[in-house]
Amino acid sequence: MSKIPVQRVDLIFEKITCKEIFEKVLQSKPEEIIQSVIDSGLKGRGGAGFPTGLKWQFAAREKGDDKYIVCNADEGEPGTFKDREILDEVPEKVFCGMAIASLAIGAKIGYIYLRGEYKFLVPKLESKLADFHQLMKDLGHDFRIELRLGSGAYICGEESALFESIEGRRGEPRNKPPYPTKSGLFHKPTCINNVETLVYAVMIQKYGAMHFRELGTKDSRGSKVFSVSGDTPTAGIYELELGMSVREFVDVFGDGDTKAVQVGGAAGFCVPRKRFDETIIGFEGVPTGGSMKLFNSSRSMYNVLHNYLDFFAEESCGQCTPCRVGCQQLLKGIEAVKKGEKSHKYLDELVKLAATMKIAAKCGLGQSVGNAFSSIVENFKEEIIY
Amino acid sequence: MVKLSINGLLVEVPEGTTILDAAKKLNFRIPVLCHHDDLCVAGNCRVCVVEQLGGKALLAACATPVAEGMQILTNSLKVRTARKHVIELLLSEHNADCTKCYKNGRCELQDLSNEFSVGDHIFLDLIKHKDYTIDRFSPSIQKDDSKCIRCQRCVRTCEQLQGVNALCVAFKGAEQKISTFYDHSMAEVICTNCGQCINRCPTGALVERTYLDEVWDAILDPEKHVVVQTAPAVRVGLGEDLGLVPGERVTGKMVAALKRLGFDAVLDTDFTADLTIREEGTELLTRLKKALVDNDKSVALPMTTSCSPGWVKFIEHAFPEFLPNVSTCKSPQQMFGALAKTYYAQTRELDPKKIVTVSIMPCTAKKYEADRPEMRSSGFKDVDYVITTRELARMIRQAGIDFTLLKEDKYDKLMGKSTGAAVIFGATGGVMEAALRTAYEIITGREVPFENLNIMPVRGFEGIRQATVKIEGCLEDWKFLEGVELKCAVAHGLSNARELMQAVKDGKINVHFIEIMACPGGCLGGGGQPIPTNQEIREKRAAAIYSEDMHLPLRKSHENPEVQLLYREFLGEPLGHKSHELLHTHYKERERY
Amino acid sequence: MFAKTLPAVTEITIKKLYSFPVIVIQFTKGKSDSITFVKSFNVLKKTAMIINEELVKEAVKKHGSSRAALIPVLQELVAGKNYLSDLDMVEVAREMNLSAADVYGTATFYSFLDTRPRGKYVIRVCKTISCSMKGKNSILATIEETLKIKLGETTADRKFSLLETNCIGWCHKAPAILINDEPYTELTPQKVTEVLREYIKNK
Repeated sequence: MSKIPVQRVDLIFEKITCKEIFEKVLQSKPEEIIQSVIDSGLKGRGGAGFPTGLKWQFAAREKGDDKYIVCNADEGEPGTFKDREILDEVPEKVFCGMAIASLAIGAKIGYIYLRGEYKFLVPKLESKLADFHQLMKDLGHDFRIELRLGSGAYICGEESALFESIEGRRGEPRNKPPYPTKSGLFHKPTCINNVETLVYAVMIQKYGAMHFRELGTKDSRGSKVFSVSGDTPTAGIYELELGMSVREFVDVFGDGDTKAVQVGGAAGFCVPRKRFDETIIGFEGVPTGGSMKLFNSSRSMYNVLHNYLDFFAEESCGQCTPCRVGCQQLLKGIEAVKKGEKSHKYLDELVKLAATMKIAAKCGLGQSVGNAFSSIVENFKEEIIY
Repeated sequence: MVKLSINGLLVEVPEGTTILDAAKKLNFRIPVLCHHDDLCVAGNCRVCVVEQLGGKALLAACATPVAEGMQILTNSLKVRTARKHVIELLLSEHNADCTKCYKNGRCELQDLSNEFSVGDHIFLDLIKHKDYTIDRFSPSIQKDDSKCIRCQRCVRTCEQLQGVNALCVAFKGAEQKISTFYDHSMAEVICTNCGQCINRCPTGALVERTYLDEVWDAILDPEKHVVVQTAPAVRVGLGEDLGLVPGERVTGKMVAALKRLGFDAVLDTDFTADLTIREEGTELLTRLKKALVDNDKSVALPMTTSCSPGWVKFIEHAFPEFLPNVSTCKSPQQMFGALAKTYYAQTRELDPKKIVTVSIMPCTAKKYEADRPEMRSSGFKDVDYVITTRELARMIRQAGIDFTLLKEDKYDKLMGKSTGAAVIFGATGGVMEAALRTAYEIITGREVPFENLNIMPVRGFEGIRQATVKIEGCLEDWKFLEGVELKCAVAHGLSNARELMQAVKDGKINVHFIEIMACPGGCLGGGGQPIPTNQEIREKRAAAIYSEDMHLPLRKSHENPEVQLLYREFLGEPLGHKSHELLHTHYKERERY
Repeated sequence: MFAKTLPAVTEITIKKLYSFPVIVIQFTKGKSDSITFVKSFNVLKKTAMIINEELVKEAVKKHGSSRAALIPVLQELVAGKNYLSDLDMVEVAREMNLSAADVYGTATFYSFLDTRPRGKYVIRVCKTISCSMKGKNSILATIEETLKIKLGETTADRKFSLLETNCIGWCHKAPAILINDEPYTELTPQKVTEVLREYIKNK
């Protein structure tokens, strides 16, 4: 297990001139752009971790004139707030990333789906967009970006639910296959990327694929922006190299009494102290969209789990049985065990249910509820029962 | 073609086939709940999940297309555990009062849980935390949210099949439910009462409002004279709920059963169907004459049929500007009711106050129709109770009758005789065909120029059909129609009705006469017919209807001797004063939402 | 519509007083006296319908009438008064050729497209884990005490509504709330009282 100490990186928030980079990119062929992203090893930074270059390649290979670039700015995972900062500080880099993607796959229109809770960013974004559109016009690239706002639905961060929302419907995830690169927004080939992923795509064009590839580990190339919160004296947003262990992370960010770290938000895993050393923060260990929450020994893990389950029961789209009913059962289940209405053996049934939800739910939300549930119940059983 | 293996057996299917259908070819029936052959894929109940070797997540068989080299397991340990969990979860949010429930014994959730989930239920009861009420305000449809498993079949039916969109999915998460606009009662919104949602609901969440107790009370009341009428489509569907296969004609047995149940007179809606053709045919010809001879621009053409109350309510909400186009004729059911308490009562010397009219319908909208305030031409409520084919089957079972052993019997006289033209009312295109058989002969003195009187162009299951009949060699009175190409259109299912009426509104279609049935397939696919329903079953019922037509001695409405007697003794002539009083009606513009 | 029944009407305007629409009718009566009417509820509802129609038509004009415009249209209507009334939804259905049930089903999916009446300022207190850990309960209690309403309620003057919401993306500066679209972070009971006072005083 290679241990990389907590290394700060400054790719995301570095100020650049979009014009310079895009002019250079315009000289390249779409295949070259895509190859550089593939070579860099960049994987999606929203949490799912799909190889970005591959995604662009699939979309590029689809026939048809109507293709879309979508920027997923529906950052709703509890504990994630880095996209807000990126959009506030360097929005032009996000637009630039979308423009590069549009060149790579052959799209003329892009959408930024911004969560409704970030509506206060709209005036700034619209002003920056005006500049961006002017730049596109000057450089002769037919690509424009439209803003679409969310309205308070966590599930709309799921790619197909996001498409449904832009299309004016309830944000209910679709059946897959077909996947977005084949049939996405308006059922056309779509490339949907996280805010952060798009900015990295820009920096890969600036510094080259190798520069990015040299950071991180074999399975987790590059760096990532983390949102750190909870029991930490240094809550905030940090861009760090991927591949560090949770131990190293806690050594830097903990308050000296960290008993657990929730990596990946409510949909992620709870890493207990005894596993800090062996758990890697990266795609080979515990992947994350950036949310890192530290809990010290004063925290009740029952409260933490209850909070997460309550969140899911409310935010589930409600379509599929395992998620809609499963979340309610998990929530009410731990309440019943706590109150003594059900014996602690009932927790074993719930763990089995969580395992079913993981493989039978229709989308990532239902499939992820079990992560937090199982990892907290397994590692903090007494706190859940008593 | 794609090759894959299911449970170790190889199968080759066309690209795009779902795992569900591929498995069927190998005789593996994967259980489903949200899937329905008539509707688009949902993939949300997760009952049909299957395992793919080497895959992480389970796949929904109904929603996943096959891929080359797939290795699917439909009954592995993972699948069985997941399936049991899904059923247990559904049961935990379902009010299982099976012994009281109308769908007991015919409920898809009940069947599934019996197959997979024996013993104590694992999970907590979630129903007791919710605040559900049962919506019993509509005379046709009862909605019980405590039994809903959110498969969304009803929403998809109302949206895609019927294009009415009265039902929607509201809220999300734990609060998610199937709702109407602002959760108003079904009686208050644009619901047309067609009952297609009931036909597809897997549980007892959506059922018809039943009136069995009231009908039994009437039958068992010695003071009351209970008259029953039977719709055309009932006689080709009733058998399915009583142990027979789809497509069996059970007219004789049905009449025998009704007599055994204790009805005082067993009569036939087909009688008034023939009557409707006389009235409506005359109305059409009158409108045509006004348009072609008098050049009256105010005449509303095309004329549409009015026997489908689901269609009538639909047009009242969606196209009120076309209400003048709808025939003023009542439906056969309502004509019957009005005559039962006047003509029948007089002829049989009975006190109309003591007559109770019951109708057996393949339809739920007829319950609403009977309740319409204008349906009191006899001075009383013309049709007292409407029960569905399903309810009749229940009555027969309650009476302890083995339907299959019954010897055939005949309808009673006065209002029991009918022709083949009447029975085809039950299929889409049937009213059109019956009208053409009569109208053509009235105008030309000759039979319609189609072999065996079977007007094939108006038959079939295509959503919107058009036909043209050239009128030549007219009789003297009808010379104004010489050379006219009578253009007709037929639509079934309300989304097709909407498309057709929009085309008429936009001027894209130019016809004289339109037949519209609210239900896919026509009445034979009605909201009151036995469940399940699918295209194959509807086709079998249609074949039975046309077979019934072929086997009847009289095939044209104007040949019905009892109808001829009715006009001679009572009504006078079509569209006469008495007809207008008893057999014609008016409509009401309704809200768009 | 009133001009037909009152022939001497010189001017009809619709003003917003007390946060609900009021019809002001000026008409001559001998020596140019003017009288202001506050009409009964039914008439107010009819007036509200007329206002609604205009607002909806404008929103549809701005965003289009295709299905994809539905949510931007609803968002536009919500921006005005923080909720969608049944009249709003019927009007949207009419303009966009949808069923009212369809509009209702879509709107209720989204927490911010509220279909229950809310006040001029909707306070959303984040209840997800970070804010929960950092004192959200005391913030909630302070707001309840200051405004004299409980969670889920609206003040009598229809100015404030108090709701809970899920993670709004300010976990490093918890506890945080939104008042309409404005975030307020690093709150203490004292700080939140100050913020509320500003709202009560100024706006």
